[in-house]
This record gives sequence, structure tokens and C-alpha cells, in this order.
Amino acid sequence: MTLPHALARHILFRCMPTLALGAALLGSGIAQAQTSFTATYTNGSSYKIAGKEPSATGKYPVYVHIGGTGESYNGAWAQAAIDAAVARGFVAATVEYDNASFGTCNTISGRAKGIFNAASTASAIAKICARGKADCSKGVVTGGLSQGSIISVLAKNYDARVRASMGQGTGSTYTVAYNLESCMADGKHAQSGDRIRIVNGERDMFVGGTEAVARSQAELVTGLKCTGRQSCFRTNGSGWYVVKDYEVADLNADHCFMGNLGAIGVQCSGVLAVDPYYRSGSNQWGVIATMNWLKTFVTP
Amino acid sequence: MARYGVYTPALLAIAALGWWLWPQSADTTQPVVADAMPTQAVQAGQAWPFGTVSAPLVATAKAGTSPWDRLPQGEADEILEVDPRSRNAAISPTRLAFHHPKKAQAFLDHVALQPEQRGGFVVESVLPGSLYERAGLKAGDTVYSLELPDQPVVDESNMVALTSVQVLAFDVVRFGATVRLSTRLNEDPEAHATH
Repeated sequence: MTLPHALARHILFRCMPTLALGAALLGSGIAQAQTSFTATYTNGSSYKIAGKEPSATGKYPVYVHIGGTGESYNGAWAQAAIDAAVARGFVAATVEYDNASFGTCNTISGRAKGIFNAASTASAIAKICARGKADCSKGVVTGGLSQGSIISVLAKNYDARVRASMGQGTGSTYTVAYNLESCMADGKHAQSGDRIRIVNGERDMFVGGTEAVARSQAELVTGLKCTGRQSCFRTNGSGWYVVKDYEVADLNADHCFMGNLGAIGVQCSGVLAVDPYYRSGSNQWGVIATMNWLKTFVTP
Repeated sequence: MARYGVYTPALLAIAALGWWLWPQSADTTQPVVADAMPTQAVQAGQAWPFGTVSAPLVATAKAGTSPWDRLPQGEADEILEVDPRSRNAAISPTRLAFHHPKKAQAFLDHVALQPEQRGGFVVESVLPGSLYERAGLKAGDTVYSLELPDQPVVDESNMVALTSVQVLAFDVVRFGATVRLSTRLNEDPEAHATH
């Protein structure tokens, strides 16, 4: 008669950690319940906005994500950023823009202005800030990849509420054809260097293709130099990080290091998947660390 | 008689000007010679319903009711009230560029088009300040395809490949002749514009 009880206790004991973990995840999921939303904004033509916001009553600061050239505005990489941001108490949105081509400082600044023009009711930031759950006076932070990272850094040129900006695959020289130093070098943009965090892959063929170039490009934008180092952060967490091949799941820390399952050696081809270490890792270059850093600049 | 003879040329000139400016009815069309269009339509993979082309064709461009509509087009570049993306919602990007749908979508986002009966699209308006305005695109131009046979195909799924593109170029038909429009993406407007 005692055997079933012992077996039950044994099973319960063995399963307790799993049950506890499940309950914790369920609890956290409830605590961070979120609602999706869509909107549009106008910059000549109409463009889409997709976002998520906490379901709980309250007003939240805003995170705006901008994808790279040709990237779907609500693809897997953008969604990973949005999910991480909303889980940390942001109204988070990813915005579509005219990203079929790259451009000069003048061209990309026009795209940035269309998204972040605080003086226009048609801009994306106006639409996002008008949401009931959003309180942009608590702070706006930005993030993006490639051309989106340039827009992220330039955002404060058009909206003083932008308190910090993250960039992935960020530099001033994109291939030999595009030199954006006039708007991207430290001191050339309104965003202070100590409010910028850059993460570049060591194999980023876009900004150079070597760790040294990925580093120098990040140094140029942030104004923070640490010769020969893989990463360099100020006390407030601003600065830069160069992701190494061995740190990502597909062993290819390219321009789109956050991607996974792409063609070997082809830059940015893992567009459908998100690197697990980027999404869930406790490293300094992942999306969790990035969002935690951005959160330090806003009012909860 | 000699006195009337002095006034006759002036009267004829005034009459000709009046005829030129007099409003046409809404359903009339303005002839445009377009012997270059069939080639572009075939290149775009579009049907050409008029059989073998051996003589200059006459296309129909939309004509307004105001005489000002018949002034050289492209001069009235005021801020558009129309949203090109909404206006062009029924046009699939692959109609304009099968291999470059993102390039085509960007075009559709900046240029309001009117389908033309032979498979092309007449430009109604171009967003001021856009790359297409910079390239020289004007209202009244007809677009059959944004693909250029003499240009390499760009893999639009590759971010680096897309960012490496330095020139935006496409062909239009203007007053019956094919015109190559282009602008450099890595130079600002004041620096360079060719068309």
C-alpha cells in the first residue's frame, strides 16, 4: 500500500523543479501580457507600423525599431527586438520605411525625419506616442540594423525625447560607395556618444569585413576608442561590442549576426531565424542586454 | 483691304491660340506617338494585343478638361494630395519588375500611376523630392517595366547586395521615344542628376 504513495512522492519530487519553472514562466507571462497593434504613418506615401504594448493599465516609454535595407519591417529579427522591449515595459514598435535602396546622409536623414519628426503629426513617432499606453515624456529609445541603425542614431536629430540609441551593423562607410561620416561620426549627430551602443559582427563585410574595421567604425560613431579590444563600454553601458564568430550559433558573425540558419558565408542570409544566443543569451551583445541598457534611460 | 491684311496674321494667331487652349471634352484623348512601347511591353512579359507592329502606334494618354492639362506636363509639382501607395494598391510590383519587386514597390510608393490600355502605366504624379523626381520622371511619362536588360539582376533578399547598388535607373516612354532616366544613390541631388 505504501508503494504507490512512495512512487507518487518520487514523481512529485522529480517534477517539482519543472512545475515550479512552468509556474514561474506562466506567472511572468501573465505579468507581461501584451497586446499587438498596427498603425500607419505618412512620409510622402503611407507606411506601416507594427507593435506590441503591455496589456496592464499604465503608461509606458517607447522603443522604436528600424530594420535594414530590404528587410521586412516586421520580420523575425525585428520581432525579436520588439518582444524583448515589450517584456521590459516598453510600448514597442517596428516601422516600415522606404528601404529598397541605401543612400546618402541626405537621403537617409529624410527617412529618419519621416519616422521621428516630433513636429509632424504624420510621423511614425507621433502615431506611436499618440497611443493610450504610450508616454513619450517618459523617454523614447531606438534600435535598428544597418540602414535602420543609421536612422536609429539620427533619430534624436528630429526628436529631443530620444534618450538613447542602439545600432547593429553600424558605421559610417558602407561599401566603398557610401561615406556617411558627415552625419554618423561622433559629434555630427544630435545623439550624444555616451547614449549610443553599437554592436557589430567581426565578419561584417558591409562596413569592412574584419574585426579591426568593425571596431573602428563603432569607435567613429560613439567616440569611444579602445584599441585592440573586443568591446568597450562606459560606466553607463554606452559603447560598442564586436561579436565574434564563435559567439553565434551559425559561427558567422556577419552584418546580420542576429540571424541564424542562413547560407554559409552569405551575409545576412539567415533572415528567417533568430540566433538563440542573441535572443536568449546573457551576453553583452544580445537583445536582452541591449533592452536592459536602453531601459536605464527611460522613466518606468 | 491692305488694312485688313495687316490684322489677318494677328487674328489667325489669336484663333490658333484659342483653339489650342480651348477645353476638350472629358472623354477625348491626346495622341502620343509611341512606337517604342511594344518592345518594352514584350520585355516586361506583358501581352501586346495589336499584333505585329510595323508602323508608329498612337497611344492614348489621359487628358484633362482644363487647357492647363495640356501644357507640358511635369511643371506642376505641388505637394501631392494623393497617397501613391493607396492609388497604386491594385498594381502588383511584379508587373513592373518581376526580378526586383522591392525596387518596384518603392517606385509605386512614390509615383502615382494610371493603367494604360496596352499594359503600361502613365505617370500621374511624382512625389516631390523623391529619387524618381530627381531622376527626371515626369507626369505623362509611360512606364512598361522597371527591369533593364542591360543591367545585372540584384538579389533583393541580400541586404549587402541591395546596399551596394549605386544607381537607380529605369526606362520610360516620353513623346514616343524611350528615355533612360537615372540618378546616383550615393550622391546628393545637387551633386549629380542625369537624364
